Amino acid sequence: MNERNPQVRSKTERRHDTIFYAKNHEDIPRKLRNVLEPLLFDERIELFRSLASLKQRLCLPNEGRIIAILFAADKEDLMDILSMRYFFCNVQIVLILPSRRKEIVALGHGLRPRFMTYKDADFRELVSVIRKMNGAFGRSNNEPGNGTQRLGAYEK
Amino acid sequence: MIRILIVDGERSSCAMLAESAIRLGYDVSTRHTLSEGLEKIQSDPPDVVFIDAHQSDGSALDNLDVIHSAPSSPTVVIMTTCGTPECAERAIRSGAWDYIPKPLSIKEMTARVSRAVQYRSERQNNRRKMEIKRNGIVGNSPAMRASMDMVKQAADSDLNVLITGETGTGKELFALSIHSNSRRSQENFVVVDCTALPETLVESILFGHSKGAFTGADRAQEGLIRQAHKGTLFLDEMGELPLSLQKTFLRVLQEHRFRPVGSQKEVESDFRLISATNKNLEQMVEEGKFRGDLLYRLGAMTINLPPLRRHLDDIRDMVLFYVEKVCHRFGVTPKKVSDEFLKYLMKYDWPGNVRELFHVLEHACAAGLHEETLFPVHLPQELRINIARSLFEENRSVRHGGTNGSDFDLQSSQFLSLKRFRQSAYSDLEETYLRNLLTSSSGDIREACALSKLSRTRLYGLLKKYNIRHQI
Repeated sequence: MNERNPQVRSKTERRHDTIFYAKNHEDIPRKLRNVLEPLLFDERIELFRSLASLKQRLCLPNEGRIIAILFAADKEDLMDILSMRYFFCNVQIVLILPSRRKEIVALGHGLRPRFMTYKDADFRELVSVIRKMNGAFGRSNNEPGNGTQRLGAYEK
Repeated sequence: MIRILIVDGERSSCAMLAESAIRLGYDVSTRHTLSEGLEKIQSDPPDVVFIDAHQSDGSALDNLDVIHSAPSSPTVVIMTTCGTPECAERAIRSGAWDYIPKPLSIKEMTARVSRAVQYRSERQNNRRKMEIKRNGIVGNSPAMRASMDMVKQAADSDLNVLITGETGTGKELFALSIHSNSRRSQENFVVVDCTALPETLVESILFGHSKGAFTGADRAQEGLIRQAHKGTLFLDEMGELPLSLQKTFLRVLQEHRFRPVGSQKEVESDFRLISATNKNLEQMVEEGKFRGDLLYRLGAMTINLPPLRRHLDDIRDMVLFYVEKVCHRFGVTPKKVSDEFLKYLMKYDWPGNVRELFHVLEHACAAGLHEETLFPVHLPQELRINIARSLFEENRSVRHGGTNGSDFDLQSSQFLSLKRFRQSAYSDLEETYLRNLLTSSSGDIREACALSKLSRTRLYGLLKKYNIRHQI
C-alpha cells in the first residue's frame, strides 16, 4: 500500500489484474455501464475493445492471477471468445452472456466462468461478485474504494 | 505369467506364502531383507509384492514410493505381525493395496494371493482397454498414477467425488478430467466457485429464483444446479458454502429436486456432484462449521491430490509441457531446458504447488525470451535466493555433522526450509521419546514395547536408526 495515497496500490502489491472486454461500447446496456463506471476506477480495470488486443494482453507474462470480465455481445462474439480458450488457462472469468437461451448458456459453461450473468440482468450481483473476487485475491473487502479518483483504468 | 515377489525376514512364513503362490501357478521370487527386495524390484520388476512391514534393515512403509516407482508399478500388500491403526492408515494412504496381519492360515494366504492377482490382472486389462483423457494433467510418478487411477474409477461411476489437496494442486483440472471421461461429458460442466460468490447471493445463484422473488429479480432465473442437469456440478472451495445453505443443499443431493427462491414449484436436476476443498472438512465438522451429514454425502469417493513436493519426479515432464505451452503463447520457438535449471526446481518445496511452478516457468520464459535455453538465472530472484540458501544450509549441516538432540542449533534452523525443519524436529522428538522410554522401562525391552505399543521389531529398528544402546 502506498502510504502517501492509500488508494494507490503498487504493481508489486497486486497479486491479480482485472480486465474487461466488450467489442462495442454501444452494445453495453445502460444498466451495466452505470454499475461498471465506478468499478472501473475503484478496481483499476483495463479495458479491451478487440479480441486481438485482449489476446496480446493475455500473452504477456503475468506474475499473479487475472480476473477477466467478458461481455459477449452476441453468439458470434461468444464463439470467438471460446476459440481463445487456450489463452484463458490461468484466468478467472466472469462472463456476461447475450441471452439466456440454453445453447448460449451451454457455450458459456465451456469457459468455466467463476460467475455468469446475462445482458438483460440486474448487474448488482455482478458488482458484488467482482468486489468479492478482488477482495479475495488482493485487499480486504473493508478497504475503501473511491469512485471519484481515476486511478488506473486505461483503454486498449 | 504374473510375477510375485515376497519380501519377509521370517523365512518360514515367507516359504509358506511362496508355496501357496506357486501352487496357484505364479512365478514367485523371495527375498529376506528390504535392501534385497528393493534391488530385485528394480532389476526384475514384479507385478505383485507381498512385503513384511518391518524388515531388519528398514521399514517397508518408508519405502513404498520406491516400490511403486518400479516400471511395473506393482500392486503392494503389506504384511505385519504387530500392526497399529496408524501404520494401517499410513500404508493405505501411501498406496498399498492391502495391509494384512500375520500369521495367516494356508487357506487365507491362498485367498489373499488370488485376490491381489485378480485385481492386478483386471486393472491391467482395463488400462489396455481405455486410456483416459488427461486434460493437461501432466506426470507419471506413482503418486500421479494413483490419482489418475482414482480419476478413472470416478469417471466410470456416478458417485459424488470430493477432491482434496493443497491450494494449487490442480483440483479443478482433475474434476474436469473426471467429467470429460464420464458418460456426462457431452453435457455442461458447471463451476460454482464458493469463494467468488457473496454469501447473500449463493442461494439464488445455485437454486435460481422466480420473477419478483426479491428486489431486483425482475425476471425468473435458472440456477446453476438446474444448468448442470445431466452434466456435472463442480463446487469449488466447498468449505466456503454458508452453513445456513448446507442443509438445503444436502436435501438437493439426496432428492435431486429443489425449489428456486420465491417459487412454488419444485425443479428437477440430474447432476453429478464433484466438490473440492483445501480445508480439513472433518475438523470443520468438529468445530461446528460444516455439517457432518453433508460431508458424508460428498465423500462417497475421495481423491486426495498430492502436493508437488511429494512428486518432484514429475517436475521434468511438467516443465517441458508448460515451457512449450508458454512459448507458443508468447509466439516464440520452444526453449530447451538446462539440467541445472531442472535441478534448481527440484530443490524447492513448492508451497504453491503446480500453480506456483507454472507462474515461475512463465517468469523464466519471459526472462529468457530471446534465448534458446533456460538456465537458473532466468528464475525469479527470490526463488534462486531461497534455493541457494537451502543448498548452503545443506552443506553447513553436513560439515557440522547434522543437528541432532540437545545440540540442535536454533540459529541455523531458521535458515532451513519448513519441510526440512519439520523432518529434523520430528527426528529429534522421536529420539527424545525413545531415550525417555528406555529410561522409564529401565532398559527392559518387553516393558518398553508395552509402554510404547510398538512391536519388538519396530522398537529395535528405531533404536538402531538413532544408534541408541540399551541395557538388558
